[in-house]
Amino acid sequence: MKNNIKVERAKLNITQSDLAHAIGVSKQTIHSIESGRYVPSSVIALKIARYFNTTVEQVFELEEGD
Amino acid sequence: MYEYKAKKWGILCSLLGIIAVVAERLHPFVVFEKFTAAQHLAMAQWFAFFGLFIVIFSKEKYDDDRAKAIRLKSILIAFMMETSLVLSIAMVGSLSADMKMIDSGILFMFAGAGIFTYLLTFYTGIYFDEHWEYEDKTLWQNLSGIGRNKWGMLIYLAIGVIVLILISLSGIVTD
Repeated sequence: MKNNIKVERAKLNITQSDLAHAIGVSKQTIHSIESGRYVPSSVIALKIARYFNTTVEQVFELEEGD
Repeated sequence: MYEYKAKKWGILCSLLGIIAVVAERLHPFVVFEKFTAAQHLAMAQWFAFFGLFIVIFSKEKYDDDRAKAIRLKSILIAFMMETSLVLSIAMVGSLSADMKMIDSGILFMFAGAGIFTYLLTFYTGIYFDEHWEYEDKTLWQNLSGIGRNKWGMLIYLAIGVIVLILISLSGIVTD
């Protein structure tokens, strides 16, 4: 699953730690999600989308084979 | 699960136990007259392991979904490791008439193998291993990917070394 968390973070000029702190997860979790190694639960995906004031579909996108 | 702050108490309990084990090994001493120095050593070992047991079942500062996924897989790996060890010793024991099957050393070794396997796997996975495999894969898929993962390789090497140390410390000797 692809995501554009890095782009959204850049728009707001915030670090992985800032985002992690805001949604209540560890920095390592944000790093793993951002690099595509860990697929977050729907709750975390919704929290990330809400933080960026957008929809889950705008942040996460299914890839071929998912 | 215990709260995050319970981890500090677990570490403290374990450290006190380890210090007592080292002290007992260097200069055997008796605090409670009712028990021997060997029994004091066993009690110190028990405290060291009990502290680590509390650490295992304490939450992380950020106990999120990823921490839970890594915890579950670490418990699975520790269970497989423990079962493999029990089966191996049962096999050796069935072939050797001289082996002492049940004593406190072997029981501490079983506990230690499970605890150290879990702690190594979990903390490496949650803080260091960028290639942690969240999906359940077959043994061959895991083995073929291990070359790319230096932390995974280090975990298995460390577990192997610790198990060998535990086996040698537990006093299992087969002629």
